[in-house]
Amino acid sequence: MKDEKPILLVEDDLVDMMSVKRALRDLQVTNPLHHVGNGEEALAWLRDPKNPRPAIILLDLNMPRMNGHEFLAIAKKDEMLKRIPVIVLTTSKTEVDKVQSFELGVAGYMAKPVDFQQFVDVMRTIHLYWTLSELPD
Amino acid sequence: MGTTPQPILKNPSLKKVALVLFLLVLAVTIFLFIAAFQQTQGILMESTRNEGLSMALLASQQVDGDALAALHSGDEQTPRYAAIYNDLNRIRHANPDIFYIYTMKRENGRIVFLVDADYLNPETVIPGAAIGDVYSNVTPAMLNGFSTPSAEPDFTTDQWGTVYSTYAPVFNRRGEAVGIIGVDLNASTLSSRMMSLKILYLLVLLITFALAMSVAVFIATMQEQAFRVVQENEEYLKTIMQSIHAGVFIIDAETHLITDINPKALELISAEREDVIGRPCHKFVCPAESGRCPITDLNQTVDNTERILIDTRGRKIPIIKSVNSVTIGGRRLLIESFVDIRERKKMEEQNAQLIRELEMANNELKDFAYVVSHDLKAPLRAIGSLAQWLAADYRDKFDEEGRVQMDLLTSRVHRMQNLIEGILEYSRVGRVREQKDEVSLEAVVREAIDSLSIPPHITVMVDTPLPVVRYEKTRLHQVVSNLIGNAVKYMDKPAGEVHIACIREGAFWKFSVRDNGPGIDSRHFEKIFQIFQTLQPRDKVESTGIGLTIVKKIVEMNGGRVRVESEVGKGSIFIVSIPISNSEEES
Repeated sequence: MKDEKPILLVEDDLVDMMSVKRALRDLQVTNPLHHVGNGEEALAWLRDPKNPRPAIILLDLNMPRMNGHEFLAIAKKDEMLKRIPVIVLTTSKTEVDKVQSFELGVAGYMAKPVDFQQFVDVMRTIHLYWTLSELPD
Repeated sequence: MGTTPQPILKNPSLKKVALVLFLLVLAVTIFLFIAAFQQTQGILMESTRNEGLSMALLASQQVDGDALAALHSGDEQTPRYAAIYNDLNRIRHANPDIFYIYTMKRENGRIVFLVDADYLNPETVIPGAAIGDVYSNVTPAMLNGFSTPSAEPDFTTDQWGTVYSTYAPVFNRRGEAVGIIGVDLNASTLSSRMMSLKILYLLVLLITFALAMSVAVFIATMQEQAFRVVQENEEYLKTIMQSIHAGVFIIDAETHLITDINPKALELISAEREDVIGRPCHKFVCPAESGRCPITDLNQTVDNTERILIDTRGRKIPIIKSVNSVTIGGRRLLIESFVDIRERKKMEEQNAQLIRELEMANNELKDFAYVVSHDLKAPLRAIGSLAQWLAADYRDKFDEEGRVQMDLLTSRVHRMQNLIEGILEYSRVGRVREQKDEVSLEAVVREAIDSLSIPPHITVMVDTPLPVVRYEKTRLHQVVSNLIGNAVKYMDKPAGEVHIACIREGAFWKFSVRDNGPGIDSRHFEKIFQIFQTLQPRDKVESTGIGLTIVKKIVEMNGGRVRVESEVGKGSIFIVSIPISNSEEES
């Protein structure tokens, strides 16, 4: 990604978090990765002025306390947060989840492949796209 | 039945009145007849009397009084006697009604005969009287006759028989009454006239009576017949009402009173007939308020409509009801017929319950599929990732056996993922219905062949032109690619051949995929379509065993069938039937 802005990963599964971390490492992405376990923690981290604004948010849908859709519903109404691109990274392939996510203004929707190598490919695509795409400041 | 008219003469008091009336009319008729008869008889008597009197008068003027007065006993052979005798006989012969004609005089306080017109008549049975013969049966009328013409009030009887006698005085030249002349009219003539009159009257009376009787009998018979017809109709109606298996109410449309009810209806509302007849229907057997009758007030038509019947205990019984409005004898009636649908309702309820339960079960199944998709896939993916990381990070620390085991672990993760995806796909076939479109089978087959990356030793051939069918496009693609994919996947010959064809058979297209592969034993024909059933170990040919199950489900949901024909070692043919749609038929 362009500058050294952090990536925020909202994910409750530890192995999935490790997958993202490892994929980024394999892709030699140097942006710092911040990990939170659910939507509530994500909102708290984002609203903490001490924390930098992330370049991108990777969001799982199925999480305890506050799931991905609930998080999106709040974040996309928040003037400060609504312009941060959110990419859904989930196991769910159901149409309902996809439709709801795009209605809540996500920038992308990726299904987590079982194969780690394929997952790395997914992460590469995301990285490539957001390296090329212009982002608002 | 309540609507049946009362038979007119069934009532005993009415019958008595009719009998009394009949007897009265009979008595009056007889009285009138007797009166008329007596009147006529009187007239007859009167005319006889007048006739007799005029005869007597005429005769008295014919007879010479002086000559008569001069006659004495023993003069019978004298010309004077003969002259009078002849005069009398002449008068008698002039009138056949005259039976006897004679002259008499008073002598010493007795009545004695003078000239009797029968005295010289040899034919008479009883000889006529001679001059001076005393007549003993003297009557006042006879004595009266000496001064003025007179007649007996009735028939009189003496030794000469029964006659009707009239008298007139005979005068001499000086105008003195010297005797009487008696004219006896034939009683038998009169009585025979009387008799014939009697008979006539009797006959007329009898005929009148007979006529009256026959008219009465005729009317009675007609009435009896009409009554029988009424009775038969009543019986007919009653039998019908009793044997219909539907409840029937007859309700007066004006008053809303129940005028009739059949046993089935009574059974339904658990009431006795007496408790129902004459009661208003609303708020009794019908929940409608008075003045808000659905038929007469709200102008609804009730034809096989679901309604509520209230029984005598206030229970509501669901019914299917029809109401016909008819006019009988100027009276508007509502004929309501209905059937109890409690059983049906109960069954509908049970069915609805069953459907609710099934829907719940189905939803649970859908949820289950989702749980499988997410909650089973997540840890599986973690296992896969961790295995791969272990294999990558510690590659130099594993020996050959360790690496093989790590590879096996990864492949099993993939297989499990495929199984889970298969379940999801299978459940999605029934759940998610796509729009049916005109789909070119040709294009679908081409796409399938392209996407399958067929190995070079296998040739796929399309033997017949392929039609356009009405199908869910992606489902058709699934069917075609599964069948061709299986043919390719299990091919065991160095020169593999897959033949694709589609022919029309009745209302169906028969799409077939034929291969020269290993073939399938006929005992497995059922099994291969069952979920997760594979005929080869998965390690030899990687298969979830769900492909044909999905094919079967798709084909059957689209109104077709799938079947297999095969011979072990020679190959298999899978035949899918696709209904030919109406639009295709038209084009």
